Amino acid sequence: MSTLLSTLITGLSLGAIYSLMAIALILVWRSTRVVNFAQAGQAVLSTYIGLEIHRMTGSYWLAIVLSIIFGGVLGGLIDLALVRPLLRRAGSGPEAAVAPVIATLGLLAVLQGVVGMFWGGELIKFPSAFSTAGLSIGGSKIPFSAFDLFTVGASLAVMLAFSFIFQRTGLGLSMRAAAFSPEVAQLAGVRTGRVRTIGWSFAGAAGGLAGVLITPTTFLAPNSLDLLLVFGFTAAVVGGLESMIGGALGGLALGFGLALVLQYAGSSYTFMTAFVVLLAVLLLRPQGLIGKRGGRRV
Amino acid sequence: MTSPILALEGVNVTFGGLRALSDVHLEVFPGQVVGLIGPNGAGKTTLFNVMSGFVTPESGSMAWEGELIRFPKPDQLIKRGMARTLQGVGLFSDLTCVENVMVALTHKSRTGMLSAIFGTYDRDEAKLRIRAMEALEFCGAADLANSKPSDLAFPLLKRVSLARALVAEPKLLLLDEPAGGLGAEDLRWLAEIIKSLSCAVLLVEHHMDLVMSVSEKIYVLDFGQVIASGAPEQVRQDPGVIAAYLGAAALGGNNAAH
Repeated sequence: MSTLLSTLITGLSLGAIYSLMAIALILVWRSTRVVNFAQAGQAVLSTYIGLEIHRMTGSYWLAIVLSIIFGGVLGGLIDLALVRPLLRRAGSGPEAAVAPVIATLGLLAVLQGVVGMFWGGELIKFPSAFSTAGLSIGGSKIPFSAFDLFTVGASLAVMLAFSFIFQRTGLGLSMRAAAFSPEVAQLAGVRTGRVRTIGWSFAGAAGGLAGVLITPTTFLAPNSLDLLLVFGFTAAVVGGLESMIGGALGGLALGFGLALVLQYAGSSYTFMTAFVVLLAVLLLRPQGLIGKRGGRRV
Repeated sequence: MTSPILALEGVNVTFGGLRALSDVHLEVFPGQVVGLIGPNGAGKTTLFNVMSGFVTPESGSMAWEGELIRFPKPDQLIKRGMARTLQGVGLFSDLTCVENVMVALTHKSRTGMLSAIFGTYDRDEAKLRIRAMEALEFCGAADLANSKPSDLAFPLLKRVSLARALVAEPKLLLLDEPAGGLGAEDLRWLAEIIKSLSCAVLLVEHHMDLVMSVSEKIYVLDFGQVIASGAPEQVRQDPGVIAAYLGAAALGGNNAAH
C-alpha cells in the first residue's frame, strides 16, 4: 500500500472526531452566538463519567451511551444555569462580546479542576470495545483498525441523525429559524429559549461522543481534549461556523491535512499547522472555505 | 352585543423620558378590519410591539375575547390566536418559502427531543408541509414553495410572510405596513385578500386608499395619543386629523401620510 493512501486512511478516523467537535461548537454558536471554549471541559468530564461507568459495570457500551447522555444533560444545564442568565445580564453593551468568551473559558478551567479533584491528574488509558490494531486486507496490514471503523461509523450515524432532525422535523425547523432570527422566530411561536437549550444539549452529546472516541488511541487527563478543541475550532472555522455540513467537511479536511503533516513533516508541526490554518482562514476567508459570504446576520 | 376580541385600555409607554404612547385605547371586534394610521413616529409600531410583547408598557390593560390577560410574550402570540407580520418581510433567508411558513406551525408539533430522534416527527412534518402549502396557495405563492427568499422579488416575499401569519389560523391578524413596496396590481390583490379574511385585522398602514377602502373603523394616532376614531368617512373629515396630517396634502391621496 502506498504511503500516501495509508496516511489518508489514518486521517479519516481522526477527521471524523474533529467533525463531531466542530459540529458541537457550531450547534452552540448557531443557537446562542457563543463560542464555547468549555466544550473541551464538558467532553472530558463526560468521558471520565464513561470511564467510571466502565470501571463499575465493565460494560463499554453502557459507558459510551451514558457518556453521551451525560454530555447532553450537562450541555443543557450549562445553558440554563450559566449562559442564559449571563446573556440576560450582559447580553448587550460593550461587555456583550467578551462576557461569554471569558465565561466559557472560566467554565473550562472549573470543569478541568473538578475532573482533577475527583480523578487526579495522571494519564489514564480509556478502554475500547474493538481492537486498535490495524486490520489486514488480503494479507497486507492497513493503518485502520476495527476501532477506527467504529469511530467513523458512530460519527457518521450522529451526523446523519442531526441532519435528519434539522432537515426533516419541526424541532429542527424551529432550531434553524431561531438561529437565524430569534425575534421573528418568537413571533412565529417558537419558544427560542427551549430550542437553544436543546442546541446546547445536542452539542454536549456530540462532544461527549468525540471524547470517548478519541481517548482510546491517546490517553485521558483533565486537559487531554484541549487539542481536540483547537482542531474542532479550526474545522468549524474552515467550514464557515454556520453550516453543520461545512463543519463535518472541515473536520475531515483537517484530519487528512494533519495526517499528511504528521507523515511528511513530523508530529511537532501538527499543532502549529492547525493554528496556521485557523488564522489563515480567519484572515483570508472569514466566511469559511465552504460558507457563503454575507449570507447571514450575526 | 358581542365583546371585542381585543380591547386595550390606558396603555402608556415611555422610552427614556420620552412618552411614546399616552393613555391609548383601542377595540377590535371579531371579523372586523380596523385601520391604525398616523404620521411617522406617532407610535403605531410601538403599539404593535406592546401587543406582541417586545415592549412592556408602564401601565395599561389588555382584554382578549372579553377576558383581562397579561400582555403576551412574543412566542405566546400565536397560541393566543394572534399573528403579526413585520414591516419589511422578516423571512428566514436560509429556509425555503414553504419552510418559512411551516415554522409558524412548529409550536403545535410535539417538540420533544426523543420523538425527534425516533422519527415520529416525520409524519408530523408532512402534515405541517401540507398546511403550509395551503396557506401559500391562498396567498398566491404556491409556486414559490421551494425557492429561497433571497431569490425572490419584494412583493412575492410579502405574500410569503402573509402566508406565514395566516397559516396558524389567527383570530386577529396584526399587519404592519403590508402595502409598503407594493405596486398597483399587488395593492389590489392585498385589498381583496384583506376583505376576504374571516379573522379580525388590525392594519397599520400609510397607504390611505388601502386603509380607507378595507377598514370598517380607523384609529388615528398622533404623538402617542388617539386623536380620532370612527368610520373612514368620519375620520377623513375630522379637523384634528387633518391638522395632524397638514403639510402632507389632504387625506385620500396616495401615501398622504408621508
